Amino acid sequence: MLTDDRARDLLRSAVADLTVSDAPADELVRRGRRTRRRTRLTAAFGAVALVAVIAVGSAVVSDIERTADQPAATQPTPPTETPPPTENGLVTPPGTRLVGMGPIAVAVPQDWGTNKVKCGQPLADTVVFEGTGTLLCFVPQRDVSSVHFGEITSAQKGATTIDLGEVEITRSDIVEVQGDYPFSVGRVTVPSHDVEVLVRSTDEQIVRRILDSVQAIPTGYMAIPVPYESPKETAARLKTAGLVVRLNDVYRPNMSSGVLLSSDPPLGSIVPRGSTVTLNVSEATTRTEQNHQIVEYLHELMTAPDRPPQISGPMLPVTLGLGDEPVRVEHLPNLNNPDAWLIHRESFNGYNGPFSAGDKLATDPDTWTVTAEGQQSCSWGRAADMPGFDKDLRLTIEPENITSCLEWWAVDVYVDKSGSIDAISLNLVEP
Amino acid sequence: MDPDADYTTYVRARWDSLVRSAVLLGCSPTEAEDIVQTTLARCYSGWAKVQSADVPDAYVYRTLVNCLAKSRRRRWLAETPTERLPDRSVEDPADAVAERASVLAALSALTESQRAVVVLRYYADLSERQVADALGIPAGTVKSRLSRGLEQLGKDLGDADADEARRGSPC
Repeated sequence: MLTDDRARDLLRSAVADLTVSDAPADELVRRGRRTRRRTRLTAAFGAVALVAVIAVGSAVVSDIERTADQPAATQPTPPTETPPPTENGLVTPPGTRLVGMGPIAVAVPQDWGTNKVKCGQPLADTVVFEGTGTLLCFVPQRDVSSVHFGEITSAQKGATTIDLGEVEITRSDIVEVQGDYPFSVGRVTVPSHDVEVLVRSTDEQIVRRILDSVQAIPTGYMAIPVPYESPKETAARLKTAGLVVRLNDVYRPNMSSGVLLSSDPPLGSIVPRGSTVTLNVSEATTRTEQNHQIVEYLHELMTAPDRPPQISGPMLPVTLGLGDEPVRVEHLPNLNNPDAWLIHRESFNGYNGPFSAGDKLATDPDTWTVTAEGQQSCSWGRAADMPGFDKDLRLTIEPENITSCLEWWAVDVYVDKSGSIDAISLNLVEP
Repeated sequence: MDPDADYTTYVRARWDSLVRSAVLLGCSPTEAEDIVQTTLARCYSGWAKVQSADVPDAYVYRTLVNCLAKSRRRRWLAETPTERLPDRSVEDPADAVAERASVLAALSALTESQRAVVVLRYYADLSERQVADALGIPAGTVKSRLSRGLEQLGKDLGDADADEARRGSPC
């Protein structure tokens, strides 16, 4: 067992060379003070005077508000033009998409993202699900607009109650908040479902338009629920809610596995019950050892064809290709014959055929680099995946020390999750 | 002393070691700075508690560990890929980079609870009692986790360290 002193030395040396930014002490203090002000703001929501114009029985909330500094006698802003309802009873103004939580939806501009936030701060115009209201680390505030869905954070004193037919909501006046970028903020809540929608923007009209678009989600439709902590739990939640879930692994070498990256349609979208939702989940492992085995296997296959070693997984057919074009299918055991690798094409990228990835794999592996990032040294960015194999791990074998891109080649090996080789493609630089 | 000034002084003094601790606890350098910011922002709102704590560092490290755990729950780190440990001895003085990488890899092979006690005890230099307070576990549990953690680290870091430990032991 290590001694105490040795353990100390090892830990210190392990991070000794780490470059650490300067301590953001002043910024932390500023942020802390801002958070205090924000807390006061939340309390202030309840104190804002209300102007009650209740639209009963309408699926869309009418314009009922005034800003905090408007006198009570001011006429309400004329309602925005209501677009015709769509067939499903939902109102989607032109250029917008509907997002929701629980029983209500709002229309946001089509190009807004979902959860484009860091440390609680929106980085771009975005819809944000949960995690709102707490700014525990900081990114400078930006001049962007956002709609935050989450649980109700505080009681809305003085808010207007509005009956949307199928559900009752409360709506507060829009207030202006001072800060780096003074912004307007408005809020609606659904007390029966513990849902809160907070809209903030430096443009008060954006806040107003979004709040005006609040509508009840009709029977037969639903908002795709927000994620739980794991894709598995999210999938379970979605299934319980009546959706069909498909999990899709997306290779992300620089992330941990099992992180929910995105969904299609995006979380919060309004869909018919029973719709299929694809959850894109990170698959991080670089499978270093397995990669090594696969590359070694292919080399041995070419250099010791009488004794092809075995790798894990069944010997499935292997598609041979040129660049991103699949050419034909061979079965792996046959590839111990160099002729089986030949692709009889007159030319490819300016080179004369026939072409063989096997010839490249027979060269000295010590002269190769193998990457899973597809950074091909002489290509313009990552070449496209062969169609049908974009879900696979793509290992790229390249010569390491070349003096000219004319000497460059790449063999892309597409490996499925079980470790079986699905396809092998040869790439040559296009002069 | 003005609480803000006291807080600022503390942040400047401890920022570096907190970030390095977070790295040893399993964060990437970028994540580490984010987590430490989150930790210190929380401590700002409860700075009076930090000041009144017997050992302010223990309070802050407790917050750091909690923030880290919360962050992991949010991101659901169901699988943390661990690089294979290097075959060669980490005692090779010519290869300090390999040693550092292997220490981090060996730490990542510990359980989260073992890793936390090892880092707080041997990097943050908290006493066993303070580690127990920081993690909200009994002192006896700290001892047993330290013992198992060091044993595991010794195994993962190769015979050289274990040999050295044996040589340095009076037994």
